Amino acid sequence: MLDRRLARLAFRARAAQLVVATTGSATLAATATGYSRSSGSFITDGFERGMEVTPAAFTQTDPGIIDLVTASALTIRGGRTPQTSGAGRSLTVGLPALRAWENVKFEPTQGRPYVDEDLVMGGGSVLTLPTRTGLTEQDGLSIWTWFGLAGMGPESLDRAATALTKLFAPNTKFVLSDGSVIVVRGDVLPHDGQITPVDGGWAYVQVSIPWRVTTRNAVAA
Amino acid sequence: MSAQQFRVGLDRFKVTTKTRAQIVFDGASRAALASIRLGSPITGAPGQPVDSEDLLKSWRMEPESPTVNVIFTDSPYAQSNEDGIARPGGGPYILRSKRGGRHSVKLTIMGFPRIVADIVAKLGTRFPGGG
Repeated sequence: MLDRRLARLAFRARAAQLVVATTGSATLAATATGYSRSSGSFITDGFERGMEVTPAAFTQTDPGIIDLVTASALTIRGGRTPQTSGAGRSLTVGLPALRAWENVKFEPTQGRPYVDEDLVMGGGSVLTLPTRTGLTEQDGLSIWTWFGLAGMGPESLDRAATALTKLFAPNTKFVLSDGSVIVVRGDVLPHDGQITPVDGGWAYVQVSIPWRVTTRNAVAA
Repeated sequence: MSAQQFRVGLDRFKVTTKTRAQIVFDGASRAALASIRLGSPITGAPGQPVDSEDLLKSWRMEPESPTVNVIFTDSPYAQSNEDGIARPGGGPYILRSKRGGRHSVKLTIMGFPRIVADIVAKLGTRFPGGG
């Protein structure tokens, strides 16, 4: 039978690899209003207003919310600590830094995106005989609810949902430490729902990843 | 086997196949509705939370055509019970019932191939006239 703890950790580890938009290693500057670049394009790199961007190799390391995107500049809510242009820096949008893990007390922070996880177990059956040592198959869902900022247009949540469904594309495999193999199903595709605004300044999109795991049954003595 | 016998057998096979297809369609439809309303060990759906049973009873099925049944609800809080997100507040929708849970619709949709396989397995594989 599936070890749920290992499964949850595997899905979390995969989600943590998410890249929605990134400059990659680039020559970037921090300005009083945000970030700037003299080559490349923030638009081409996929940045959108409402996204939470994480800087690397800058003096200021806390994430910032994008208010405006042009090819050569990102306007960050609240501004940034200015820093002259330097190579080897990056700006990346990934899984929100604020994460509501299951059964962990969490309070959203106004003005910051966050993500909620659900691991939902489905039905299963025995595949091979004898049952005592046969293979079993079980279905489930890994559900990610991405709460973005309301009123910022659909683009940031559209890109987030698309990036998540691509990260968990059908036939993506997770080999757990106990040898079980979780596979993202292809007969039922990952589903991303409609962007839905709710009170409190949020709009969310929910991404459901259907998976199936095959494990070896072992009857306890 | 004569051509006449073959034709009779084929006609019988057609009738049997149509009958079995109808049985599978009806059975799978009912099982899908039950999975959403009451839960199902086949899909893993927990079923609807229960307080007054208004939500549970709000889930209904109606035929749209001979080959389409529509399962639906008109409960204003069905969506919140499905995905656990309060509306309009946006925070968690607290589950207060000791029965039922979240994501029954999703699990039923995802587990529908298992529902169909279960109905087909119960139907067996024998056909009248052998084979």
